[in-house]
Formats: sequence, C-alpha cells, structure tokens
Amino acid sequence: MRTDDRARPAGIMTPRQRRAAGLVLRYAALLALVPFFVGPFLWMLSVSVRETGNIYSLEIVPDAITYRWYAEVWSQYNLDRAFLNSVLVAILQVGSNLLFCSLAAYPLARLRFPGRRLVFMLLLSTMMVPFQLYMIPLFLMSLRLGLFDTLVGIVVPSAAGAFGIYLIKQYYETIPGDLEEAARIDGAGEFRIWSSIMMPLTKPAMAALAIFVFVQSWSNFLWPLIIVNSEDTWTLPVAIAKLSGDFIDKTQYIAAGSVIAVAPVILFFFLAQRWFIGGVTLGSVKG
Amino acid sequence: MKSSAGRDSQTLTAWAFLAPTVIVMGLFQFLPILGAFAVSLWDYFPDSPNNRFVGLRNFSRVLHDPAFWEALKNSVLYLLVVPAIVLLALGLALLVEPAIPFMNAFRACYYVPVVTMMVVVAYAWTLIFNTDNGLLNQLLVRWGVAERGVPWLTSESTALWTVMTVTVWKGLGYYMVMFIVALKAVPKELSEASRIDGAGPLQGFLNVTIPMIWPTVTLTAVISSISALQVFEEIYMMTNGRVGTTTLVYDIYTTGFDMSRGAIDFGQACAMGVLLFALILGFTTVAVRRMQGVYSAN
Amino acid sequence: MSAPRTALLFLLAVSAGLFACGERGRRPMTPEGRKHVTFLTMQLRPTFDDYFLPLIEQYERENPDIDIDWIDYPWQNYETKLMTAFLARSAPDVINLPSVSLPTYIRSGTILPLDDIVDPEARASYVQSILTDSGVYDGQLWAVPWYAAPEVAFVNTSILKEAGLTIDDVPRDYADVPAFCETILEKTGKYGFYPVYVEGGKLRVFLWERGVSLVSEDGTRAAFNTPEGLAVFEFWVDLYRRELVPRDAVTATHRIPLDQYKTGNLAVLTTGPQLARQFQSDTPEIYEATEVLPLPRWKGHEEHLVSLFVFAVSARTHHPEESARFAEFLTNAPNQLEFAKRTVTLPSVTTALEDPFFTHPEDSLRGRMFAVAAQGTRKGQVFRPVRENAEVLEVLADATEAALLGNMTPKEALDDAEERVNEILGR
Repeated sequence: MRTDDRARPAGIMTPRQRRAAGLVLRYAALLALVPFFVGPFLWMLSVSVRETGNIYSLEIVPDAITYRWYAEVWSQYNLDRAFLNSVLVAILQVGSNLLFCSLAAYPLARLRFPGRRLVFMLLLSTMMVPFQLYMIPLFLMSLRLGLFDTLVGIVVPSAAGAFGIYLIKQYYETIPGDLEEAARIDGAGEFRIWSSIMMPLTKPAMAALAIFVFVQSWSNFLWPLIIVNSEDTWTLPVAIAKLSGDFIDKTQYIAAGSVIAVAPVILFFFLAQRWFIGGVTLGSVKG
Repeated sequence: MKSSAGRDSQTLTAWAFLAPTVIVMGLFQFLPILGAFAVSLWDYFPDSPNNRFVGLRNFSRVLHDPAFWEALKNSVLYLLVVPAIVLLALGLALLVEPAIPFMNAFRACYYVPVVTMMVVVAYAWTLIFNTDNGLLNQLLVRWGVAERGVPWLTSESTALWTVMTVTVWKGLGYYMVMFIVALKAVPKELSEASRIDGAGPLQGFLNVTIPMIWPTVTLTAVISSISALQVFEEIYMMTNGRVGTTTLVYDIYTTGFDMSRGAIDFGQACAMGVLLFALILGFTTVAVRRMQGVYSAN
Repeated sequence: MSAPRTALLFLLAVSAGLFACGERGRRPMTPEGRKHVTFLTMQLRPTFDDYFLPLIEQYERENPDIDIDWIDYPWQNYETKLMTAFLARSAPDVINLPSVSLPTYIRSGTILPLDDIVDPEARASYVQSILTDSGVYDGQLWAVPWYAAPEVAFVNTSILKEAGLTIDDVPRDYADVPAFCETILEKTGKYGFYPVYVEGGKLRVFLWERGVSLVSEDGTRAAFNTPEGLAVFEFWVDLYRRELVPRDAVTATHRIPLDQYKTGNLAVLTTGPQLARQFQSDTPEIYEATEVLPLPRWKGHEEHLVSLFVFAVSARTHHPEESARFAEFLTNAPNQLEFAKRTVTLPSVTTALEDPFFTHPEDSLRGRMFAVAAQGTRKGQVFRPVRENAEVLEVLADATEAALLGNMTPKEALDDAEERVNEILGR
C-alpha cells in the first residue's frame, strides 16, 4: 500500500480511474443540464394545473391539481379552432413544400438546360432576404388577392422555399444516373421518370424536409399575426399570444393553452427523434 | 450526342418542372421583395389619394429618428448571442458526443426547445422571470443568493440580456447537433496522432479539432447572427419593446402594423426593412470573409 | 404511378376549401336579398354570448329582411385589426369603439357622420352630456354612446386585517396613498396599489385627475407642462422610485394587477367594476373578502373620469340606415339596462339610469359596486381626446417610462414630452 501511495500521490489516478471519474463527471454535467432545458416546460405544466390561489407557490407538484383550465381554454377560447387551423396549415404547407421543392429540384439536379445555374442562384438568393423586408408588400398584395384572413394566405408565402429546393437537390445529385438512363432508353417520359423512379428515391430527404417544414409551420408567428384577423383563422401561436396579451386574465389558461400547443410537437419529436435531427444534418453538411 | 430537338424538349421539360415553384416563389417572394424597395421610396397607403413618390425621404426620416438608432443599437447588441451560442453549443456537443448509454435521451432533452414554438417558450420564461412571483426570484431569495427579487424583465440594465438568454437557450440544441455532425467527421487518427506528438488534450483540441470544424463554426456564427438580427417574437411576448428592448424588426412591426403606437407608415417601415437587409448582407459578408480567413491564411 | 398527381389534386381541393372558409361572412347580400349587418365588439366574446345571441335572434325575428353577424376582437391590437379589416374591405358595419379613439377614425375617414341617419327620438334618449362629449366632433355626431365603465377601488379586507388596518384606512385622497402602501408593504410584504403606468398613456389620466389639460383649448399646443402637471407626475414617479408599488408596474398592462389581486398579492385594485365577475368565479375567497370603494381623488378635484364605449358606423357599409337602426337597438334603454346588470357597467340612456336598480341598489357587494359606479358616472366626465390621440399617448408612455426608470427626472421627461407633443400637433 505504501509503495502504491508513493508511486501515485493523492489526486493522481490510474487512466482507468481517470476514465471512470470522467464518465461520472460527464453524467453529472449531463444530468445537471436537464432541468435547464426542460424546466421551463415543466414549470408551465405545473402552473397549468393549479387553482388560482397558489399559482405562484414554489412546489412543482401542487397539492390540489385541476385539469379544468384545459377544458375551458379549449372550448371557450376557441383553442379547438386554432388547433384545427394549425393542423390544416401544417398539412398544406408540408404538402406544397414537398411537391414544389421536389419538382423544382429535379431539373436543377438532373437535367441540362440553359439558365440552370441562374435559376438556382436566383432561387437560393431568397435565403439571404429577411422576411421582414418584404412582409409589408406581401401583406398589401394579399389584401388585394383576397388572401387576407384566410388559411391559404398564411401558407402561400412559404409554400415553397429555397432551403427545401437545396436540400432535395443535394439528395438527387447523390443518386447514380444508370436507373434514369435505362428508363429513358425504354422511352419513359421525364415526368414518369421523376414520379416513379427518382422522387421515391429521395424519401429520406423528403422526410427531413417534411419535419423541418412542419416545425416551422407549427411555430410560425409573425406572418399569421399580420394576416389573420378573426378567431376563425387564427393558428396556435397567434392564439397563445392573444391569450397572454390582454385577452384573458387567467394565467392558468395561458399556461394550459401553451401546453396544448407544444405537447403534440414534443411528443412527435420523441417518437421521430432521428428524423428531426437528421434534417439539421442534411441541411448543414455541404454536399 | 443528343439532337437539338432533344435538348429543346429537355429544356421544356425542365421548365415544366420548375414552373409551379417559380410562379409561387416569384409571386410571393420575388415580387414583394421588389415591392419593398419600391414602397420604401413612396408615401403609400392603400386607397389613399395622397400616394406619391418621395425619393429617399422615408430613409432620411428613419435615419433622423432617435428611436431607429435605439433599435439599431439593440439589434447590434443582440449579436452578442452569437459567441454565446457558438461556445455553448460546441461545449454541449463535446459533452454529448461520445456514444455512451442514455446519450440519445440527453441529446433529445437539449433539443426540445428547438422544436417548440417561441411564443410558448417566451411565455414560459416570463413566468420564470417575473419580479415578485417568478420562479427564479423565489428560488434566489430562498437560497439566499439575493435578498429580494431582481426585476429581470422590467429594468433597463437587465431586460435585453434576459431576453437574449432565452434566444440562446432556444437555439442551443440546433447548433449542438450541427457541431456533433462536424465533430464526428474529425478523423480519430488525427487527434491520436497529435497525442502521440505529446500534445495534451486541450492542445490537440485547439490545433486539430478546431481547424477541422471551423467551417461549421463559421456556418453556425452566420446562421445565428442572421436570426439574431431578425429577433421579434421574444421581444413581442416578453417586453413589448419596452424598457430599452426595441430591436429593428420590432420597430418595423410597430411602424407598419401597430396602430396603438401612432399612425402606421408603410413607406418608413419598408425603408427600415431595406436598411435591415443591408445590415444583414453587410454583416454576414464581412463575417464570412473574416472567419474563412482565419485558417485558410496559414 | 400518380401519387404526385393525387397529392396535387388533394392540395388543390384543400386550398379551395380553405379559400371558401375565408370568404365566409364577407357577403354584403345573401342570394335571397336579405341584408347583412355585421357588428364588431371589443373583447365581449365568449363571456357575453348569452346576452348577445338571444338579442341578435330577437332582432332578426323583428326585422326579417336583416341578418346580423357578430364578430369580436380582443382588446389587444384592436385598432390594428380593425384597420387591416378596412384595408381588406371586410370591415364590419357597426363598430364598438372606446370613445377616446374616435378621432383617429374620423381623421382617416373610416366612419360615417350620423346626424342624418340616427333617429332623432333615439338621439334624445341618451344622456346628452355623454352623447356630446363622446360622439360630437366639429359639430357632427359620429357615434352613439353605449356603456360607461367608471373605475372603482376593490379592497381585499383580509390583507387589511393582516396589516392591522380597517376599510377606513384605505386612502380616499391620493395624498395618503404612499403612506398606505408603505404600511401594507411593511406589515404584509404585499403591495397596496398597483398603478398601470404605460398602457394607453396612463399619464393622461393622472393629469386629468388633477385638472391638468393635455393640450390647449384650440388643440395646437401641449398644455400639461405646468407646476401642477409636474407635481402630479412627480407624485406617481416617486411612488415607483420608492418601490412602494411593484417594479413590474413599468410595463404592466391592466391584466397584471388583476392577476395580482386575484392571487391575494394586492390590497387595492383600481379597475372597471365589470372585472369583478372574473375573480368572483375564479377565487370566491378573494371575492368574499372584497369591499368596494370609490377611486381615490385629489383634494378639490371631485370629478370622475369615465371610459365610455360607443358604436360608430363604417364608411364602407352597404347599409348605413340599417346599421344605425341596429346600433340604436343595442343601445336602447332595456338592452342597456340588461347589459349593465350583467357587466356591472353603467348605461348611457337617461331612463335606464333612473331604474331602481341604480337608485336603490341591493345591499350586497354587487349592489354596492353599482352604487359606487353610478355615483362615479353621475359626477363623471368623458375624456375628450385630440386628433393625434395615439401619437400623443405614445409620447406620454415614453416619458413615463423614462422617468420611472430614472433615465430622466420627471421635469426633463415632461419638458421632452411637451416638445414632442408640440411637434406632433404642429404637423
């Protein structure tokens, strides 16, 4: 024992011990960070089930739990409508993005035609332009087109996007050319080649894009805030913002509404985690 | 070799594929972008008989408005979230990078804020930052860290920083994933080679890993600074632009859409949009050039 | 396979459906030739569904050629939403507005002058001073008055007890407010008062309460930068700077003090009596402990400021006559009386105000609320805004914030505000 001590004075560990200690430290840090990231949601959840008297008291699990705020905010404050609208907008936005981006990316990746680079650069250049620059003309235009206060009006400005085109185009470019050539020799039309051969091969990219667009659409706030006027067309973020404005005075309503708004997306995230994170990966690595 | 008729038909096909997207994006993105530049030069209100071309007057009004400079200052200050995001996201990525048990669960936890909507996140944090009843102040007082609550969102010395914290918190998971991808791409042999050379882990990290992941650092910095310059929802939900937290985009919103703050002015709002665009373009160009130069020089 | 084609068809179908949805309620005329009158209220839905829905049904029964559509916007961004509805040419016909924002709409030509279309008999039924103060500008009538919401003071007596005070210790004079707040804070750690400083440029009310006019008679210059104006501004700023009221008061909207009162953290809530029903249903124990008093006054200034809500008619309406008729219907004596009872607001029609309901109120908190509110309304005055109301109020809000945060002394803030208001009025 003595020799061991002399060889390794206090504080110096074997590599193995060091690795174990590092692992313990790492897990400790990982655990310590969890409340920081999910705490605010838990606190909101906790507030949403409280009676009014003690909504600000410190315990995470209150003594008296009530779920009535959920039922009330859902039906009385038209959150059911907002939820339905959010779902419709998401379906429409995801659908149109998949279709438009997939269609547009195909010739940009696989066909040769004059102006290809130019079109691609032009489409891509919209990524540099902040939405806030053109939201006013867009708003004025939407008024004239009868899109004001409609769900289509919410979707249309982001029905297709440069990021989606870029993402799918990168993926198309990784597909070897033989399949396509064979089909072409068989006399298949380009649309046929795209719809039955090429497009189905891009499923991973499409899935990533779908999730990316879904999250964006579900959270989109500034544009709906401007283009929506009535409760018939409001989406969840707009509804929550209104609730937490001066619309109502029950903190629990806002908290309950907030939980209703984020719970589906969080659940969906935990089920399809791989695809969520895949989108970031596909988007950030240059092809 | 294809006949010219074949090439023509391929061109036609290509445009048929592109048409829907070009029409939608042309109508709802390009046209309004051009429109914004036009409106910024006009005194414009729908159906008004007084619409007229005013040249650069909207710009000169904006530039003479102290409120604009205040908003610009705050927007530039807001860019301080960028280094915070890069450093913390990289740190987080290093923490969750090794493939050890439960790691996916941790990553998922840290990623949750990314998938949730800012409106809700901002509201949740408002409950936490409230001066007299907020969770944070209650904890600080109970633990004896502070004698009484800090007015996080209602004093000028803290409000903007508090909102910035929320922005950083919301985005960390996203950038963390970008860094994980980048770190995975660093070949193991390289860092081992540097260790054999007698370099410590820190040196290895600085001399090998950082240069390897530098493109991702650059990308992260650019993306996060573009979104920092466009911050709106946090401000709208948490402070309403009060107590010195008005940013450029918030100012554009109130100028263009908030009648309770005075008459709305589409021309001026568009002029501010143009200035915002110029700022983003200028800043990112300089930033990209500077950051790319760091390792390509040697 | 035709998967993409199916998807495209599906998208088209969904889009068409959604377009159809959005177009609902925009028709001036139904196929059968019935006339559509849309009326807009301010944050009354869904709380007062059981008042309005039967009323609409009754009106449609009595006027078979008319269809009534009801829309409601929340308080927040009300004016912005209304403006965008105008731009989209889908503005409602009959519009509920706070009387203070009327000049904005007159200025932008969005509402109709009513002199020729309001029934003279109906016109004579309103309390004439209220009608004139709220609806007449440049010699023309622009709106008919609806309900008045005079503020009262709700007192949580259990907090008083905790502090060893009684209801008689609650200040009736503003000068006693700081001492009261100090005692409550010392004894209970809770707040006595919670002023809403910035929302709607509250400074205008602080000034008004001490008889300081916002602008000169002719409306061309700021008139509030007087020793009296400075004194009252300093009073409110001092209350905040000494931290006798919550520090979040610098940004708080009227929802926040209500929330604090309901959670038992605020001793005195000054607000419209109609908000009582919210804590009645929510926190009965707070409601039980509540007593109602008139708002504090300044010595020598006994008038009460009454917020009034009015109905105006859109300049874009296809049916001006029908719109005016419906506005008269909503504001007639029986309907106003019923609305007042449900909301604890005050009617603006003479005969309704003379109802025993107000002259001999029942002996309950509700009855006392009506008594106090009616008393306020009788002595009440309606605020006469200037044309550039929104801009002026924004300047006042900025000045208040600057002084509260200590960026400027009250004097500097008031000087600065005066200069900016003069600039606005001089444009």
